[in-house]
Amino acid sequence: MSRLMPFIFILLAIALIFGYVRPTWEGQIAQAKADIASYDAALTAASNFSDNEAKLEQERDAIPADQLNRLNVFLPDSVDNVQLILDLNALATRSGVTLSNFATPTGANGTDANAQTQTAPNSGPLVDSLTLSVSATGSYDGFRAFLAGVEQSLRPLDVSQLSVTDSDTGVYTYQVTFKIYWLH
Amino acid sequence: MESGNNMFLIVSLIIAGIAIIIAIGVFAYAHLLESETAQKAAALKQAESSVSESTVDSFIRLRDRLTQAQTVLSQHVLMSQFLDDLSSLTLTDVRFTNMQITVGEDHSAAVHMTGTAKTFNALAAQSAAFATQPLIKQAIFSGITADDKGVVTFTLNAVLDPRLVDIPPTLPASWSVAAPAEAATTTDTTQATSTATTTP
Repeated sequence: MSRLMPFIFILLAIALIFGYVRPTWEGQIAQAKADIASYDAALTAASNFSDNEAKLEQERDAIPADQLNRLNVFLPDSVDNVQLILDLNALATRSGVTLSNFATPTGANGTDANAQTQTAPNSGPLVDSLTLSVSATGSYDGFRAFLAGVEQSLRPLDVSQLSVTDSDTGVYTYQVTFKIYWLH
Repeated sequence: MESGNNMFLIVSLIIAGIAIIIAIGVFAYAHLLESETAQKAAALKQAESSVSESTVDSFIRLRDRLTQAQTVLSQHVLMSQFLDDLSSLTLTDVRFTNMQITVGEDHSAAVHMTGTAKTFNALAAQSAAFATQPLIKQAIFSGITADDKGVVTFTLNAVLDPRLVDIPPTLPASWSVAAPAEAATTTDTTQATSTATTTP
């Protein structure tokens, strides 16, 4: 029996090494190491994100609130064409021009036929646009004042079509089509 | 012979002992790694929970608004620039009675105008005046007819260079940014001047 003991011990050692140590090292431990590396990468990314978030918050806070509000007016979240018409009407009144026949063409399915979308590279639609047509009457000087006011307005209105018809009375007829934008 | 057997037994015992120690070490190391994995998973979950989706969305929205606002602003159409040029280029003996401008996607603008000139010479001078403005391209006078009094009626078609309707790199000093309703007060002082002969 005592002669067999060394062989039993060696077999025990072989069984431990190849039956437990090696499978555990290559399996459970290797997997755990991979998981830890993955978590470390994610935690590093989370840390970077937190740093960037703090930096961005700081930069955003550095922008005056009224400037952010102006930016929101410049490129609003919705078309809000009714308020725009009211503003245009007020501007026209101050310029001595009378506006009428506001029209935003719509397609057969009820959607805006002239709505267009600008896209940025590698991204979805970001800006939508809509055409707004309006008729106007008034003096040429009044119309120029109105047009200058529109061009300088905080919310950008791009003239895409302009028609001017002369009159002997000095009161001309205008047909203007504006293009307005909002953030999609 | 007996001492050789004992030596073999001792060596086998040492080998078995080392194997057992290694196995215990691996067992402990595996549990240590499991514990560390659990800790890091908990830390990551906490980090994830601290991320506010609405905050991220607000940053993305602000970025989009800033970049797109810059794009929209850089492509802003200022028709007044052309009207100013038209006022300065129109001769006193020429009168435009109708004008239609259509701005294309590339911001070039097609202009169609009808008008009258007191004489053929006035019309020729008007044609020469338009030729001095390089941003007014392909200015073609057509449909030229004269009545009994010598008054010439004509049609003018032209194409405007985008630089004539696009916002300039430097804004006029008189500009102030305002909402449409507010702008009326600011534009009162910047009204473009025009004479009867230069109005359309």
